[in-house]
Amino acid sequence: MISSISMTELMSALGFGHDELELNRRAKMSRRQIRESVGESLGVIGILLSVLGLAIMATFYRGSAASRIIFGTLLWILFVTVVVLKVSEITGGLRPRVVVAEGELRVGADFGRTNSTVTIGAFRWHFPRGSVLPTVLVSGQRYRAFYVARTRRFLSIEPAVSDRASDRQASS
Amino acid sequence: MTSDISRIASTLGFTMAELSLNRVGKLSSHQSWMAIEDALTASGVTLAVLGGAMAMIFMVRPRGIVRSIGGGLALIGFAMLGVVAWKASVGAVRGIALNSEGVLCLGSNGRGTFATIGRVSVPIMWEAANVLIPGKRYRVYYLSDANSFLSIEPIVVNPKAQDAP
Repeated sequence: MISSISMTELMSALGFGHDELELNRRAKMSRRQIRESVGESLGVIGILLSVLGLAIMATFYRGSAASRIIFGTLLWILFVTVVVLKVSEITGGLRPRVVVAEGELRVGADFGRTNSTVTIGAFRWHFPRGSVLPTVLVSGQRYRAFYVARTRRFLSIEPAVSDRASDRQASS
Repeated sequence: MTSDISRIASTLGFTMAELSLNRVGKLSSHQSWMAIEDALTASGVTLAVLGGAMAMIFMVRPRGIVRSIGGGLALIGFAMLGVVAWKASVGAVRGIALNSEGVLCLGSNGRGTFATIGRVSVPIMWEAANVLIPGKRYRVYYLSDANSFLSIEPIVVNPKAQDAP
Protein backbone atom coordinates (compact mmCIF):
# COMPACT_ATOMS: atom_id res chain seq x y z
CA MET A 1 0.00 0.00 0.00
CA ILE A 2 2.71 2.45 0.96
CA SER A 3 4.68 1.59 -2.15
CA SER A 4 1.86 3.07 -4.27
CA ILE A 5 2.87 6.54 -3.02
CA SER A 6 6.39 7.65 -3.75
CA MET A 7 8.40 9.66 -1.27
CA THR A 8 8.42 12.58 -3.75
CA GLU A 9 4.60 12.57 -3.91
CA LEU A 10 4.43 12.44 -0.11
CA MET A 11 6.79 15.41 0.16
CA SER A 12 4.96 17.54 -2.40
CA ALA A 13 1.58 16.73 -0.80
CA LEU A 14 2.73 17.58 2.73
CA GLY A 15 5.00 20.48 1.78
CA PHE A 16 8.56 19.58 2.67
CA GLY A 17 11.69 18.75 0.69
CA HIS A 18 14.41 16.08 0.64
CA ASP A 19 16.94 18.49 2.12
CA GLU A 20 14.52 19.43 4.91
CA LEU A 21 13.89 15.78 5.78
CA GLU A 22 17.64 15.20 5.85
CA LEU A 23 18.11 18.18 8.21
CA ASN A 24 15.23 17.01 10.44
CA ARG A 25 16.84 13.57 10.73
CA ARG A 26 19.86 15.35 12.21
CA ALA A 27 17.56 17.30 14.59
CA LYS A 28 18.03 20.48 12.54
CA MET A 29 15.59 22.68 10.66
CA SER A 30 15.71 24.44 7.32
CA ARG A 31 15.54 28.25 7.13
CA ARG A 32 11.97 28.04 5.84
CA GLN A 33 10.89 25.79 8.71
CA ILE A 34 12.51 28.11 11.28
CA ARG A 35 10.96 31.19 9.63
CA GLU A 36 7.49 29.61 9.64
CA SER A 37 7.84 28.45 13.24
CA VAL A 38 9.01 31.86 14.47
CA GLY A 39 6.35 33.59 12.31
CA GLU A 40 3.60 31.49 13.87
CA SER A 41 4.82 32.42 17.34
CA LEU A 42 4.96 36.10 16.40
CA GLY A 43 1.36 35.81 15.19
CA VAL A 44 0.32 34.38 18.58
CA ILE A 45 2.28 37.17 20.32
CA GLY A 46 0.35 39.60 18.12
CA ILE A 47 -2.97 38.19 19.31
CA LEU A 48 -1.74 38.43 22.91
CA LEU A 49 -0.67 42.06 22.43
CA SER A 50 -3.99 42.83 20.81
CA VAL A 51 -5.97 41.36 23.72
CA LEU A 52 -3.66 43.10 26.23
CA GLY A 53 -4.14 46.43 24.44
CA LEU A 54 -7.92 46.04 24.40
CA ALA A 55 -7.90 45.08 28.10
CA ILE A 56 -5.86 48.18 29.00
CA MET A 57 -8.11 50.34 26.83
CA ALA A 58 -11.30 48.91 28.35
CA THR A 59 -9.95 49.41 31.88
CA PHE A 60 -8.89 53.03 31.50
CA TYR A 61 -11.25 54.37 28.86
CA ARG A 62 -13.37 57.27 30.12
CA GLY A 63 -16.61 55.36 29.88
CA SER A 64 -19.16 54.33 32.47
CA ALA A 65 -17.89 52.43 35.51
CA ALA A 66 -20.10 49.44 34.67
CA SER A 67 -18.71 49.06 31.14
CA ARG A 68 -15.15 49.44 32.46
CA ILE A 69 -15.68 46.69 35.02
CA ILE A 70 -17.50 44.28 32.69
CA PHE A 71 -15.34 44.65 29.55
CA GLY A 72 -12.13 45.19 31.52
CA THR A 73 -12.63 42.04 33.61
CA LEU A 74 -13.64 39.92 30.61
CA LEU A 75 -10.65 41.04 28.55
CA TRP A 76 -8.19 40.55 31.42
CA ILE A 77 -9.56 37.04 31.97
CA LEU A 78 -9.20 36.37 28.23
CA PHE A 79 -5.65 37.71 28.25
CA VAL A 80 -4.55 35.60 31.24
CA THR A 81 -6.21 32.50 29.71
CA VAL A 82 -4.45 32.98 26.37
CA VAL A 83 -1.10 33.57 28.14
CA VAL A 84 -1.49 30.41 30.22
CA LEU A 85 -2.52 28.31 27.20
CA LYS A 86 -0.02 29.70 24.72
CA VAL A 87 3.14 30.63 26.65
CA SER A 88 4.72 27.20 26.15
CA GLU A 89 3.80 27.26 22.44
CA ILE A 90 5.30 30.74 22.00
CA THR A 91 8.62 29.89 23.66
CA GLY A 92 8.78 26.60 21.75
CA GLY A 93 8.13 28.37 18.45
CA LEU A 94 10.67 31.14 19.01
CA ARG A 95 13.43 28.66 19.88
CA PRO A 96 12.37 25.67 17.77
CA ARG A 97 13.73 22.20 18.53
CA VAL A 98 13.13 19.13 16.38
CA VAL A 99 11.48 16.14 18.05
CA VAL A 100 10.88 12.76 16.44
CA ALA A 101 7.96 10.42 17.00
CA GLU A 102 7.70 6.94 15.58
CA GLY A 103 4.84 4.51 15.51
CA GLU A 104 1.81 3.19 13.66
CA LEU A 105 -0.29 5.89 12.05
CA ARG A 106 -3.86 6.18 13.27
CA VAL A 107 -6.38 8.52 11.69
CA GLY A 108 -9.18 9.66 13.97
CA ALA A 109 -12.03 12.07 13.54
CA ASP A 110 -12.71 14.52 16.34
CA PHE A 111 -16.44 14.02 16.66
CA GLY A 112 -18.38 17.22 16.14
CA ARG A 113 -15.33 19.20 15.17
CA THR A 114 -14.00 20.34 11.85
CA ASN A 115 -10.58 18.84 12.47
CA SER A 116 -9.39 15.27 12.19
CA THR A 117 -6.30 13.92 13.88
CA VAL A 118 -3.40 11.76 12.86
CA THR A 119 -1.51 10.06 15.67
CA ILE A 120 2.02 8.74 15.23
CA GLY A 121 3.50 7.64 18.53
CA ALA A 122 3.46 10.66 20.82
CA PHE A 123 2.70 13.09 17.98
CA ARG A 124 -0.90 14.17 17.49
CA TRP A 125 -1.41 16.12 14.33
CA HIS A 126 -4.64 18.05 13.74
CA PHE A 127 -5.64 18.78 10.18
CA PRO A 128 -8.77 20.11 8.50
CA ARG A 129 -11.20 17.53 7.21
CA GLY A 130 -10.97 17.01 3.48
CA SER A 131 -7.21 17.59 3.31
CA VAL A 132 -4.92 15.25 1.36
CA LEU A 133 -3.43 13.76 4.50
CA PRO A 134 -5.40 10.52 4.70
CA THR A 135 -4.88 9.86 1.00
CA VAL A 136 -1.10 10.06 1.08
CA LEU A 137 -0.58 8.46 4.48
CA VAL A 138 -1.62 4.90 5.18
CA SER A 139 -3.38 4.05 8.40
CA GLY A 140 -1.68 1.22 10.30
CA GLN A 141 1.68 1.79 8.56
CA ARG A 142 4.69 2.76 10.69
CA TYR A 143 6.00 6.31 10.19
CA ARG A 144 8.62 8.56 11.65
CA ALA A 145 7.32 12.12 12.08
CA PHE A 146 9.48 15.15 12.80
CA TYR A 147 7.86 18.09 14.58
CA VAL A 148 8.70 21.18 16.63
CA ALA A 149 8.77 20.59 20.38
CA ARG A 150 5.95 22.23 22.40
CA THR A 151 4.22 23.80 19.39
CA ARG A 152 3.71 20.34 17.82
CA ARG A 153 4.13 21.96 14.44
CA PHE A 154 4.64 19.35 11.71
CA LEU A 155 7.97 19.42 9.86
CA SER A 156 8.37 16.23 7.85
CA ILE A 157 7.54 12.54 7.79
CA GLU A 158 8.95 9.32 6.36
CA PRO A 159 7.91 5.71 6.43
CA ALA A 160 9.71 3.89 9.23
CA VAL A 161 11.18 0.53 8.31
CA SER A 162 10.71 -1.78 11.29
CA ASP A 163 13.57 -3.96 12.58
CA ARG A 164 11.82 -7.12 11.37
CA ALA A 165 11.40 -5.68 7.89
CA SER A 166 15.02 -4.57 7.75
CA ASP A 167 16.08 -8.03 9.01
CA ARG A 168 14.07 -9.64 6.22
CA GLN A 169 15.63 -7.30 3.67
CA ALA A 170 19.11 -8.07 4.99
CA SER A 171 18.57 -11.85 4.93
CA SER A 172 17.14 -11.86 1.42
CA MET B 1 -17.43 87.28 36.96
CA THR B 2 -16.87 84.75 39.75
CA SER B 3 -20.20 83.11 39.03
CA ASP B 4 -19.21 83.13 35.34
CA ILE B 5 -16.03 81.12 36.06
CA SER B 6 -17.93 78.81 38.41
CA ARG B 7 -20.46 78.06 35.68
CA ILE B 8 -17.69 77.38 33.15
CA ALA B 9 -15.86 75.17 35.69
CA SER B 10 -18.89 73.09 36.61
CA THR B 11 -19.85 72.63 32.95
CA LEU B 12 -16.35 71.71 31.71
CA GLY B 13 -15.47 69.51 34.68
CA PHE B 14 -12.81 71.31 36.70
CA THR B 15 -12.83 72.99 40.11
CA MET B 16 -11.65 76.40 41.23
CA ALA B 17 -8.91 74.69 43.25
CA GLU B 18 -7.70 72.95 40.08
CA LEU B 19 -7.75 76.26 38.20
CA SER B 20 -5.58 77.79 40.94
CA LEU B 21 -3.09 74.92 40.65
CA ASN B 22 -3.08 75.18 36.83
CA ARG B 23 -2.26 78.91 37.11
CA VAL B 24 1.07 77.97 38.75
CA GLY B 25 1.73 75.21 36.22
CA LYS B 26 0.63 72.31 38.43
CA LEU B 27 -1.99 69.58 38.14
CA SER B 28 -4.39 68.34 40.80
CA SER B 29 -4.24 64.64 41.74
CA HIS B 30 -7.49 64.08 39.82
CA GLN B 31 -6.08 65.75 36.70
CA SER B 32 -2.85 63.71 37.04
CA TRP B 33 -4.86 60.48 37.25
CA MET B 34 -6.95 61.50 34.22
CA ALA B 35 -3.73 62.15 32.28
CA ILE B 36 -2.43 58.68 33.25
CA GLU B 37 -5.76 57.13 32.17
CA ASP B 38 -5.55 58.90 28.81
CA ALA B 39 -1.96 57.75 28.31
CA LEU B 40 -2.86 54.15 29.18
CA THR B 41 -5.90 54.21 26.89
CA ALA B 42 -3.79 55.52 23.99
CA SER B 43 -1.10 52.92 24.73
CA GLY B 44 -3.78 50.20 24.82
CA VAL B 45 -5.11 51.21 21.40
CA THR B 46 -1.56 51.26 20.01
CA LEU B 47 -0.82 47.80 21.42
CA ALA B 48 -4.10 46.45 20.03
CA VAL B 49 -3.28 47.80 16.55
CA LEU B 50 0.30 46.49 16.70
CA GLY B 51 -0.94 43.06 17.85
CA GLY B 52 -3.63 42.96 15.17
CA ALA B 53 -1.09 43.86 12.48
CA MET B 54 1.32 41.17 13.72
CA ALA B 55 -1.43 38.55 13.81
CA MET B 56 -2.50 39.52 10.28
CA ILE B 57 1.02 39.42 8.86
CA PHE B 58 2.22 36.24 10.57
CA MET B 59 -0.97 34.16 10.84
CA VAL B 60 -3.17 35.16 7.90
CA ARG B 61 -0.05 35.65 5.75
CA PRO B 62 -1.54 37.75 2.97
CA ARG B 63 0.37 37.73 -0.31
CA GLY B 64 1.15 40.24 -3.04
CA ILE B 65 -0.58 43.61 -3.13
CA VAL B 66 -2.84 42.78 -0.14
CA ARG B 67 0.28 42.21 1.98
CA SER B 68 1.88 45.47 0.79
CA ILE B 69 -1.24 47.62 1.28
CA GLY B 70 -2.27 45.95 4.55
CA GLY B 71 1.26 46.10 5.96
CA GLY B 72 1.68 49.74 4.87
CA LEU B 73 -1.64 50.82 6.41
CA ALA B 74 -0.89 48.93 9.64
CA LEU B 75 2.55 50.56 9.83
CA ILE B 76 1.13 54.06 9.26
CA GLY B 77 -1.67 53.46 11.80
CA PHE B 78 0.77 52.10 14.37
CA ALA B 79 3.16 55.03 13.85
CA MET B 80 0.38 57.63 14.23
CA LEU B 81 -1.11 55.99 17.30
CA GLY B 82 2.37 55.46 18.70
CA VAL B 83 3.10 59.19 18.50
CA VAL B 84 -0.21 60.01 20.24
CA ALA B 85 0.44 57.42 22.97
CA TRP B 86 4.03 58.63 23.42
CA LYS B 87 2.96 62.28 23.76
CA ALA B 88 0.17 61.34 26.19
CA SER B 89 2.61 59.29 28.28
CA VAL B 90 5.26 62.04 28.35
CA GLY B 91 2.59 64.59 29.29
CA ALA B 92 1.29 62.35 32.10
CA VAL B 93 4.80 61.74 33.47
CA ARG B 94 5.91 65.38 33.29
CA GLY B 95 2.59 66.68 34.66
CA ILE B 96 3.08 70.31 33.68
CA ALA B 97 0.17 72.66 32.99
CA LEU B 98 0.88 75.13 30.19
CA ASN B 99 -1.34 78.02 29.21
CA SER B 100 -2.24 80.00 26.16
CA GLU B 101 -4.33 83.12 25.92
CA GLY B 102 -6.14 84.85 23.13
CA VAL B 103 -9.43 85.07 21.31
CA LEU B 104 -11.50 81.89 21.52
CA CYS B 105 -12.48 80.07 18.37
CA LEU B 106 -14.64 76.94 18.74
CA GLY B 107 -14.65 74.36 15.99
CA SER B 108 -15.56 70.74 15.49
CA ASN B 109 -14.55 67.89 13.24
CA GLY B 110 -15.22 64.15 13.15
CA ARG B 111 -13.23 63.63 16.35
CA GLY B 112 -15.10 66.17 18.49
CA THR B 113 -15.09 69.83 19.50
CA PHE B 114 -11.87 71.87 19.60
CA ALA B 115 -11.09 75.19 21.28
CA THR B 116 -8.42 77.26 19.54
CA ILE B 117 -6.91 79.96 21.72
CA GLY B 118 -3.73 81.69 20.58
CA ARG B 119 -1.54 79.10 18.91
CA VAL B 120 -3.02 76.17 20.82
CA SER B 121 -5.91 73.95 19.83
CA VAL B 122 -7.23 71.58 22.51
CA PRO B 123 -10.06 69.05 22.44
CA ILE B 124 -12.92 70.20 24.66
CA MET B 125 -16.41 69.00 25.64
CA TRP B 126 -19.18 69.95 23.23
CA GLU B 127 -20.96 71.65 26.17
CA ALA B 128 -18.27 74.38 25.89
CA ALA B 129 -20.47 76.04 23.26
CA ASN B 130 -23.06 76.69 26.02
CA VAL B 131 -20.70 78.51 28.42
CA LEU B 132 -17.87 79.96 26.31
CA ILE B 133 -18.29 82.87 23.93
CA PRO B 134 -16.33 82.69 20.66
CA GLY B 135 -14.51 85.96 19.94
CA LYS B 136 -13.99 86.70 23.64
CA ARG B 137 -10.51 86.48 25.23
CA TYR B 138 -9.74 83.45 27.38
CA ARG B 139 -6.74 81.75 28.95
CA VAL B 140 -6.75 77.99 28.52
CA TYR B 141 -4.66 75.60 30.61
CA TYR B 142 -3.58 72.35 28.95
CA LEU B 143 -1.32 69.42 29.67
CA SER B 144 2.14 69.76 28.12
CA ASP B 145 2.99 67.36 25.25
CA ALA B 146 -0.44 65.69 25.38
CA ASN B 147 -2.28 68.95 24.60
CA SER B 148 -5.30 67.83 26.61
CA PHE B 149 -7.66 70.34 28.19
CA LEU B 150 -7.32 71.10 31.93
CA SER B 151 -9.20 74.34 32.65
CA ILE B 152 -10.09 77.72 31.19
CA GLU B 153 -10.84 81.25 32.46
CA PRO B 154 -11.94 84.49 30.86
CA ILE B 155 -9.30 87.21 30.75
CA VAL B 156 -10.34 90.24 32.74
CA VAL B 157 -8.93 93.45 31.36
CA ASN B 158 -8.46 96.07 34.05
CA PRO B 159 -9.83 99.32 32.57
CA LYS B 160 -7.65 101.47 34.86
CA ALA B 161 -4.50 99.66 33.73
CA GLN B 162 -5.58 100.04 30.11
CA ASP B 163 -6.09 103.78 30.47
CA ALA B 164 -2.80 104.38 32.30
CA PRO B 165 -0.09 106.10 30.22
